[in-house]
Order: sequence, then structure tokens, then C-alpha cells
Amino acid sequence: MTVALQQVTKRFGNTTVIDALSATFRSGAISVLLGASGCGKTTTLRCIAGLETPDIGRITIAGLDVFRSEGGLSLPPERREIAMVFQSYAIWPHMTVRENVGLPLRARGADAREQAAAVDRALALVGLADFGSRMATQLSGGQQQRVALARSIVRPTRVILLDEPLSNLDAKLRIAMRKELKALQRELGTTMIFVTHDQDEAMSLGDEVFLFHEGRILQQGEPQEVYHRPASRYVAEFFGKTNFVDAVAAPEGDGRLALRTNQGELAVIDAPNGATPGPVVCAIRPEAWRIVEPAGGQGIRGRVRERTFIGDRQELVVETALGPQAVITLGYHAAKAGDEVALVADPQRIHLLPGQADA
Amino acid sequence: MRNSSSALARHLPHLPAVLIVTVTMLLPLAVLIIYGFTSFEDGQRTVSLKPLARVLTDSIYWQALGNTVGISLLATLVATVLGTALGWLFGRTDLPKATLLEQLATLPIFIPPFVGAVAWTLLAAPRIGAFNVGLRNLGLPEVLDIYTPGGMAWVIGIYLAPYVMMMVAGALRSMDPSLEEAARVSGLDGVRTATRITLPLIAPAILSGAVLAFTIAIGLFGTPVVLGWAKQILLLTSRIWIAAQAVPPDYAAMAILAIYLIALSLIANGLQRWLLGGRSFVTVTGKGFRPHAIALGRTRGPCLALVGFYLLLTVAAPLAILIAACLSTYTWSGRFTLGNVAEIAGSADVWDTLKNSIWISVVSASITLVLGLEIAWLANRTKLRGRRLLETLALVPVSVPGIAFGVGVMFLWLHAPIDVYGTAWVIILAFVGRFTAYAIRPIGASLMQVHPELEESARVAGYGWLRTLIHITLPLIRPSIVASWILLFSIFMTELSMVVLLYSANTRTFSVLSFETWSTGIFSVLAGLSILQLLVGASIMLFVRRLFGSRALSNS
Ligand SMILES: Nc1ncnc2c1ncn2[C@@H]1O[C@H](COP(=O)(O)OP(=O)(O)OP(=O)(O)O)[C@@H](O)[C@H]1O
Ligand SMILES: [Mg+2]
Repeated sequence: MTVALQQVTKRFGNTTVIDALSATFRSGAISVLLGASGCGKTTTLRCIAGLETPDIGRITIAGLDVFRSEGGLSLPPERREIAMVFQSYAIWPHMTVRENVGLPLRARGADAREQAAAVDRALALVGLADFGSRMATQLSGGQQQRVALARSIVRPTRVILLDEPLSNLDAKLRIAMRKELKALQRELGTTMIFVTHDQDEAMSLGDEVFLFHEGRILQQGEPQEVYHRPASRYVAEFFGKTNFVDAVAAPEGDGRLALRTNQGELAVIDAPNGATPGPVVCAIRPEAWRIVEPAGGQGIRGRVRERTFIGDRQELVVETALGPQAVITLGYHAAKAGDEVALVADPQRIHLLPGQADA
Repeated sequence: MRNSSSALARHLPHLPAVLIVTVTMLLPLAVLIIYGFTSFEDGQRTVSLKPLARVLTDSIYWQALGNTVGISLLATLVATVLGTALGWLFGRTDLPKATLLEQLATLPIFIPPFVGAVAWTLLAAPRIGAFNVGLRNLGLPEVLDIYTPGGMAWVIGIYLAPYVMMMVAGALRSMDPSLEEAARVSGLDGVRTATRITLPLIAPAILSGAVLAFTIAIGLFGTPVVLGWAKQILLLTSRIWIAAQAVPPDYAAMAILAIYLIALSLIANGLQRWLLGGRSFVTVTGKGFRPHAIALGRTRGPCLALVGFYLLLTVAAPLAILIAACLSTYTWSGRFTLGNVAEIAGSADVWDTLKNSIWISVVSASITLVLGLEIAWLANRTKLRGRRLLETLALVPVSVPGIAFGVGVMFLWLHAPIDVYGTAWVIILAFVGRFTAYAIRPIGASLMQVHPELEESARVAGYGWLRTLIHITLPLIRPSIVASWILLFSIFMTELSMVVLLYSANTRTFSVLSFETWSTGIFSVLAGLSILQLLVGASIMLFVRRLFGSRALSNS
């Protein structure tokens, strides 16, 4: 169910950790809060859970106020009808797996038979059907993570909050759990708010991504949208390597813009909404560059300075008069340091940012 | 590693530790058992159950056993309830001035049990106790009587509460706060989270604290004698002392009673191990901030009052009453004098015994510390065979009640061919043997926190093991070294239960002098001596802390 924050501010002492934050997290979707360490993701999540009390603002879950600084309303966590998966999993070591998973039901006085059935169902969903009677401490990290997950889905809640639940797993398991988590969410249709600082995780998991920076949201949108149409340099760089090229946009007629650099024309693109002629910064992802023969007289000329072979692809640094450009090509492409090349940008994949490249 | 180094050279670091552990710890206990299960007839020692049979068939010893168990259990209850409440307040709530109050609340540990007992005599003894005098003046009945099993348990318990408190507060602090938060999110309210999650999680710590309190309680000597003598409520420790005073001393009874105490301690520790089954729920996560303190809200006032009341009962009132008594012509005459102070200051006996106490304590604490350091280092930092066994053996005496251990030391040196008995060395050997564990544990714990790679990188950089130890390891664990030395010193300065069996005319310590003064019944002088003892202990502690403890390197 929809979770909404309005002008929420949280300070610890003198430092403002969340700064007048407003956001709406869609019902039935996975919203991912993404950002560098210390930007306030966990704090935001804990404010929604009721584990922290914001200084000002309003938080609603499913249209009901759970926090409102005006009037001093703040529901305790146990009355917000939510579930949460903690980064440390928070598996109670003095209980068995079943007791851990069943506690949200016991806390609300569900009857024993119902409880047993719900616990069985939850354990089966996370693939721990046979582990119910184990002590929680006799589980591997990945299994503990599943117990925490089972505990969060054992009863229907308005929203499940997850704070970097996969960060303690090894890389392979992390990717597998990512898929399972998404499948589980699709099956149950629950609203999930998921915190991570891993952009791959955010991209592959999120229906919507919220990029945090110093207690504010810089940009929100579908992963592709945020990746391909970053609102600022910071956002563009957060999602991986990006080349920034200064250019002047000149109208070409029929709604097209020519992007001219001091080394010649870069591309002619369909003018995006609101684009005006004048100086622009072109954000070009490394994979948007194509290498062509310099003899053709096409593209920006340059010389390959470095080449890192990855396997399925290779990363090149091409020295040009516009500065060094990061280029990703397929692994079998023959290129070596010192080669003279020319770079051509895919017009579809040039994204214009306002202002100057070095701003 | 070169293979040419001989077996002897490789085991060289072991040897002093092995030797001292054997002589100061294992032999006294062995001799104690021998005295308990043999008898000496016709110039020959033979295996015999006579001593045991004699003690088992004498009702006074059954009574002493009953008193010890009953009073110690009651005292443990007092200590556990108080200690858990205090530990929770300090470790988990937003009690104001918690850091300061917590430090104050550990002070009772540093008040010698004997001094506490003397103060409580002055506070709550029938007729002379200040509370009772007050009640009498108000025309009320004098209800307090500290000379009862309940009174004894109360005094013992309130002074043992800090041990439970420290364990509970420690467990609460190292608990992963998200365990409680997860319970709240799952639908438990604050109270049910406390009872269903927090309490079970810290139960092992509470249990350890209770068992520790019990093992200390059964071995106490000063408190039960001072408070129990008037009505002849005698405990095992009092009986051991009485047997030692008999002419000739009743060695057989001493040995069996000491073995009783050891058995009680073993039972308590065994019970703890059985209940816990090796479980410890303390879950340390490297991540995150201090768990959110629980807001006390309107109960803040009463909670503060509880802490204040505790400090009043254990520290403030006893100190005040000792000072008042010391300045009175005789107890509660209402007339004041500096005569007692002058008498104490002018007494050669006071200064001689004080000197003895100080040098014996300094030497013992230093030897104990070096031995503890060596054993902890061997156990944690070498691969020598038998290092863990050595550590385990060295930890045994700490669960042997002091007076029982003292009996073993006494038997060992009584008939030894070298002259140790009657000199200060017998006291020093007893201290070292009984208390090395107090150095091994904290030093071992902080050694474990120093990552071996810190030392290994020094070795790689070219330091030998000794220079690595001196320049890297010791500075890193210095806080625990200083803290251990101070703790040992303050224990030794006031130790009575072993000294009372081992002292001689030349090696009377200050605590012995106080004890003798108590038996003469001159309370004003006794109060003065108690204050002096506290002052000397406190000033040496401060001095050492200032000298060595200023820079804390570890994040403890
Ligand atoms: N209880 C607290 N007291 C003081 N400061 C805090 C507290 N909790 C968080 N902070 C500060 O608030 C800021 C945001 O912390 P938060 O845990 O929300 O970051 P995060 O985005 O989750 O980072 P990470 O990715 O490292 O988990 C940090 O600068 C942190 O130091
Ligand atoms: Mg975080």
C-alpha cells in the first residue's frame, strides 16, 4: 500500500540527516532507495517503521497517518502494521526458526492452527520448509536471511521495509536472492521499500528508484529512465562511468538539433522536450560510443591510450581533443593501445544536461 | 622456524609459568585434599575418612553449612535483583547522568566487605545502630537488626550487586539493537519486547552474575563474622577460623570445611554450565550506533531515586557513619573529639601494619600481573603444546573460596622444609595463587581484540618477538594491564579471609589490625582505621591511574 512522506526532516544533534523529504512509494511495487553511504537511506526507512521519530513532517501508510509532527502523532512500530528485514537479519538467537517466523502472529494473538499453517507457508515460500525446528543460530548467513524474509511475509502487512538485506551475502547468492525476492514480491503483490547502495541491485530489483544524496532525493523514476536520462552529473556518475562532452546545440529544422563540438559535429538528435539551442553538456555512456575507421573522415578522432580486456567486453580510454573518453566495445573487437581511431556517438543515446561540462 | 632449536629451548617460556602455577595453585589444593582424606596417627599419615566422618556427624557443622547456603542464596537474590535493575537502567535507558552514576555504582566493589560490615553495624545494629537510635528518639520501636541472617544477607547482597550490574549492562550494550527493533516491528509492545526478547537474551549474563555473587558470598569471612558473631550465626568460613584458633588447631575440620566450600562453588558453577549448555546470546554487530535508549518518561524520577538510594545505602551512609563514629568520643555519645584520629596517627602499630599491607600488596599485584600476562600471552599468542591446559589450571583457584584456598596454602607451607610459613611470602604466594585469574581474564580478552596481524606486521618489519611484545602488544593492551593491577592491588590491600589464617606476629596486615580492633569492640578507632584503609587504597589507585592509565589506546 502506498507510503508517503511529506516534508520529513530528521536531525541528529546539529546534523540534518533527512532534509524536508517528500516522496510517494507506490502500492504493490518495489521502491528502491539508493545512495552513497551516510546519505540517510536507513534513517528514512527507520522513520517509516517508527524506530526513529522525525523532527517535522508527516508520514502516511495506506492513507493513514502514522506520524504527524503537527499534533504530535507518532504510532509505535508495533501499531504500524509493517514488516521489516534488517541488515543484520535480527534473528532471535533464543528461538527456533519456527518461533522466529511465527512471532508476528503470536504478537497479535493468532490461533495456534492458523499460526502453524502460516509459518509453514512462509517457510515453504523461502525454501526453508525443513528447517523449522532448528535453532536460529544453527543456520548459515543465507539461511538466516531467508528466515528474516519469511518472518516479514508470514502475515499480510501494509509494507515490507528492507534495509540492505542482501549485503551480507556472497556475490552469487546475492544475485540469486535478488531474483527470488522479485519473484516473491510479484507473487504476493506486497509493497516493498528496499534500501541498497548497490546500483546493480537497484536497477535489477526496482520498479522505481529513488536516488538519495545528503538527505534529499535527487531523482526518482524507473531504472531505465534514471540510467538513460539522469537529471544531473551526480546522478549520471552514480550509475556508472559517463563521458561529458561540451557542445553547442543548433536547430536543424523539423524539430532536430545538431550538436557541434570544436572538433566537428557530434550528432544530430531529435530535440528532447524543453531543449533550447545554445551550450549544452552531452552525457554519453561508454557503450554509446562506436569505433570507426578514422579514414572515413567521420566522428571525433583520437588515439587509444589504455585497453582493459574483461572478456565479453573491453574498456578503452581514447585520447581525443575533447578529453579522454571511456569507451566500451565488445570483447572480440580488435583494438590495441596506440591505434588511431574515430568515435561516433549513437544519437539515440546522447543525453543533454544543462550547463557546462566542468560545472 | 628452524628445526634445530631444542625441545628445551622451545619450552623455555613455559617453565616459569608452569613452576609457579604448580607451586602456588596446584600444590595447595592437592595438600588440602590430602589433609581432608587422611589422618595422622602414630607418626604416620594414612588414607582415612575419619575427618569427613567427624565433620559429618557434628551438628554444628551442618548448621554452618545451612547458614552459608541459606544466607548466600538470599544475598545472591538481593544482588541479582538490584544488579539487574541497575544494569538495565544504565545499559538501556535514558537515565540522566548515567555514565557518572554507573561509575559511582561500581564503588561498592572497592569497599572492603569487612568495612561495609562495620559501617552497617554502626547503622543498623540493635541498640547502637544509628537508624535504631533515630527510631528510639522518635519514640518508635527499634525494628532494624543487622545481626540476623536476613541482615547479613542484605549487607552481603548490596555489596555484590555491582558484579551482576556490570555483567547485565555489558550484555545489554553488546546486544544487537535490531533484535529488539525487529520485535517491535513484528508487533510486540515495549513491555512484551522486554520480557520476551531482552530478558531471555540477557538471561545468561544474569545467571553468570548470580553465580559469581554466590561464589563470592560463600567465601566471605569478614562480613559474616562481624555481623553474625553477636548471635553466633556461624558460617563455614567462621567455623574454619574457629578451628584454626583452637589449640592445637583442628586441621582436619579446616580441611573438610574448605572442601565443603569448594564443593558448593563447583555445584554453582556446574549448575550454571548445565543451564546454559554453552549458550551465550550476546550478539555483537560492528555496525550502527548505540541502541536507542528506552525513554523512562515519568518513571525517570523513581528510577533516579532507586539509584540514589542504592548509592546512599552502600557508599554515602556507610562513609558518613564511619566518619561520625571516628570523631565521637565513644559511639553516639554526642560528643566529638579528634582523639581517635590522634590515637591512630600516633600508633606505631597502625603504621607498621599499613606498611606491611602496602608492600605485600604491591609485590603481590606485580607478580600476579606478570604471571597473568605470561599465561594469557602463551595461551593466545603461541602454539606451544599445553598452553590452554596451563591457562585452564591457572583459572581454577578463582572458583575456590579464598579462605579454603588459604587453608591449602597454610597446610602446604606449615611443614615445608623451607621457611616460608610465618614470613610475608606465604601471604604473597597465597595472593598470587588465588588471584592470577583476575589478570589472565582481562588481559586475555584484550589480547584477543588485538589482531595478530598487528604483531605479525611488526615481525615482518624486522622486530623480534620480544621487541614486538614491548613496542606493539603491551602498549595496545595497556588499559587492561593498568586496570588489572589496580583491581589486584585493591583486593590485596583489604584481603582478610586468607590473611587471617596466614599472618604471623611480624606480618600482620592492616586488615588484621582492623579485625583485632573489632574484636576488642572499640568502634570509634575501628571506624577511623576503616576510613584510613579506604583513603590509602583510593589514593594509590588514583596515583597509579594517573601515572600509567592516562592514554587509553584501545577503544574500550
Ligand atoms: N543514532 C544516530 N546518531 C547520530 N547520527 C546518526 C545516527 N544514525 C545515523 N546517523 C547519521 O546520519 C547519517 C545517515 O545515516 P544512515 O544510517 O541513514 O545512512 P545510510 O544512507 O543508511 O548509509 P549506509 O549506506 O552506510 O547504511 C550518517 O551521517 C550517520 O552518521
Ligand atoms: Mg544504512
